[in-house]
Amino acid sequence: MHRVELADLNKTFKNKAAVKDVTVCLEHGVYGLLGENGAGKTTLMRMFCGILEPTSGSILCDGMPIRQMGGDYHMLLGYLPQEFGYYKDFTALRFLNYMAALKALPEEYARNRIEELLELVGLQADRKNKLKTFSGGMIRRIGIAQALLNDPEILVLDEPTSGLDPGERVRFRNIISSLGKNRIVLLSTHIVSDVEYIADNILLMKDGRLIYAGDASRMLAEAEGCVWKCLVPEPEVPALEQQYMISNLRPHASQVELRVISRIKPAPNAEPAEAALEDAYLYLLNKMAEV
Amino acid sequence: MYKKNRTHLKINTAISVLHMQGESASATDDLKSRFTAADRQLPIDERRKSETLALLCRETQSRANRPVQNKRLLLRNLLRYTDRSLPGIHILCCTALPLLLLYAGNRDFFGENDAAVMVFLSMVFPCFLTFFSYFELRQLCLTGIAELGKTCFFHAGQLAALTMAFSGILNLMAVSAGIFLAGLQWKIRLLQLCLYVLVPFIFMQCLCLGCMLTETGRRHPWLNAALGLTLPLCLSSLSQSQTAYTEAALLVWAAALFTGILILAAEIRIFFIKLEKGDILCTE
Amino acid sequence: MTDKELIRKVHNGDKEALNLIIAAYYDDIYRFCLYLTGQETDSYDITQDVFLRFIKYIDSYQHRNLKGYLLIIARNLCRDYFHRKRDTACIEDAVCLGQEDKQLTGLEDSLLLFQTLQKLPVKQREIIIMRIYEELPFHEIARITGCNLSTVKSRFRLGAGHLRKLLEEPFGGYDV
Repeated sequence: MHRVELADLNKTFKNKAAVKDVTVCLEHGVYGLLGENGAGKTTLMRMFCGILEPTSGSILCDGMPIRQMGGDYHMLLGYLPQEFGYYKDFTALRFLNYMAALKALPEEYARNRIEELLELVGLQADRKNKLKTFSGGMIRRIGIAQALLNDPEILVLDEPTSGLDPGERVRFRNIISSLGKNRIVLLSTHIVSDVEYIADNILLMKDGRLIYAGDASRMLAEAEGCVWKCLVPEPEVPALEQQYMISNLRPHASQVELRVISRIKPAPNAEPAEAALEDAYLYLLNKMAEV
Repeated sequence: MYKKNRTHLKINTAISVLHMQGESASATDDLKSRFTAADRQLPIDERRKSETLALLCRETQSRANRPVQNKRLLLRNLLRYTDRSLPGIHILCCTALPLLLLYAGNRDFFGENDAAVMVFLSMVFPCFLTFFSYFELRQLCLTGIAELGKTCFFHAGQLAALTMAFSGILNLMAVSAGIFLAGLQWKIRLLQLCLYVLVPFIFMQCLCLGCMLTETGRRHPWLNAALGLTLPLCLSSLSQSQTAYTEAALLVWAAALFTGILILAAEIRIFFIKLEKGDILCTE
Repeated sequence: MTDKELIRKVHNGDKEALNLIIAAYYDDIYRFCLYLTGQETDSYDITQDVFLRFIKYIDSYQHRNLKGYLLIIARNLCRDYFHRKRDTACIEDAVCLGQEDKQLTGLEDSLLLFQTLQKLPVKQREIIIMRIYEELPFHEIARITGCNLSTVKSRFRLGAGHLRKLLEEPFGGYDV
């Protein structure tokens, strides 16, 4: 099992700081990297994988800088980028063989591994079809298959469920959940429910900074007492939306059921509600905005 | 007075620096002797040293037992599964160029008096071949697969080097064959023809690679194509000039070739530095 | 035998080459860890880890200077060690020298030096050790620490001055 440490990591593109002073240590388990679009998740993951050089700071794997480890670090790594590139005219089988060749896997090992992975992601029947005929979900599944070819001990998945329907999302979650036991899985998303059931630890980013790093239960505790449920007449909704953060809004006959994130009671008839991870996520983001 | 004070200040600063250096030297000796004394009082535990050696031997042994693929076989697999469509067309065009010249010579299309036309065509065709190198490199570096490739054992830098070497050798072979055949057919001095062909060829390479180095060039491949077309236009206007192809102008051509090679070398170095940093693979 | 030849032999599984590497560099790496951490037993563990990491990642070794490379690993593992200790105990833990069966008499000089070294900030301490004890040139230290040359020289100057001052104090830097 490995340990990856990010220390004072910064990345600046021209005048924009995409990642600011990120310091975190990852050991085995599933880490959910949450944040809005543009929070710096993809940049952080690219630096984590050694694709982008940080402007300052260091990334150490078991005490060694990853840039010095070179091929040895890449042998431990499996990566699924957000914009997953592939040759459209390649068949699924040829593409996986190509990726196995890039990862310098012995032929015999690669052949067996590809069969296993096609079975795991449910694409055995489509192995000889060209990738241009695949749906979005199938492409993502090929993506996860190629990331697992070298049986990586560090798996990095950037928005792996984007564009997937709910059924495929659940399937994906189950695959990832089973992988997290003896490896580091870093999984980024802006959809909280993706990580709610599988992540042991949550990393929350906002404007390039890591505003929270810890386990999900502690994150929930942060929002304890700040989540309210209330039923209000429809005309009052805009005023409440202006004043408070509304995490859910549901029409209920002539009224509207609101789920409000607030330290103070938003309405006389508001009742405290049990905080869900999404509530905690919104609460922490909003808290940082206030600061 | 001010000048005198400044000189005085400079001398004082120099003296204090020398004093500090002298001080540091003696402080270092004194501190070094303390370290040496401390070393004597704490000898190394040989048992722990032997344990470490034994552990290293076991680790080395377990590494030897791991299945390792031969590097030659790894490379063979890579070539087997890589995309061959663009390189295939490239090879065809490189083969076509000398064959076309041979055919044109045999059929006497241009005749001995149209050497100037032949020289012009010999300059333009290699520029056209450069576009293949450019697109092969683009496909490698600027598709999403490049980002993925950077996390693999054979990383983007190695693949880019392989691609550039392959297309460079192909182009040079085609250009050399073209120069040789054109020179023979139309009785043009080979060295002279070399310069006339290699100069626009090298500058075309510089233009294409230069575009890859800028974000605008990477985002807009049509810009590169447009710039690329200006080179043959310049060549055609050059071919109208009588003085450009005289013996006296050969020195200018040689100087231009040398400059082109230097620029290309610098661009290749910058390209690999940017590739290593990830600036090219991850265009924001 | 040069470092390059040694590495090549290790690649080929030559155990004698491993022996030569341990013989050449073990003591220096151990003492570097010992002076940096002030903890004898932990320093042996860290030193073992340094050589294990080196073997594990030997395929990506590209440095010209093996000792410098080992010092980079040692430095990073010591920093790891400090981070772990920060979570569990005060970083100013008592210097722990001398095994249980050894007499403590005769260890005064080393105790003095270790305790005094621990009073320096880590960044100055490591540069002092590399410059004075390991006798590395400044540019090599800059490469190992990832700092620029002027920063290294400035930290050395400050650290050496501070160390000398502490050692010359009436109680010689001892905690009384």
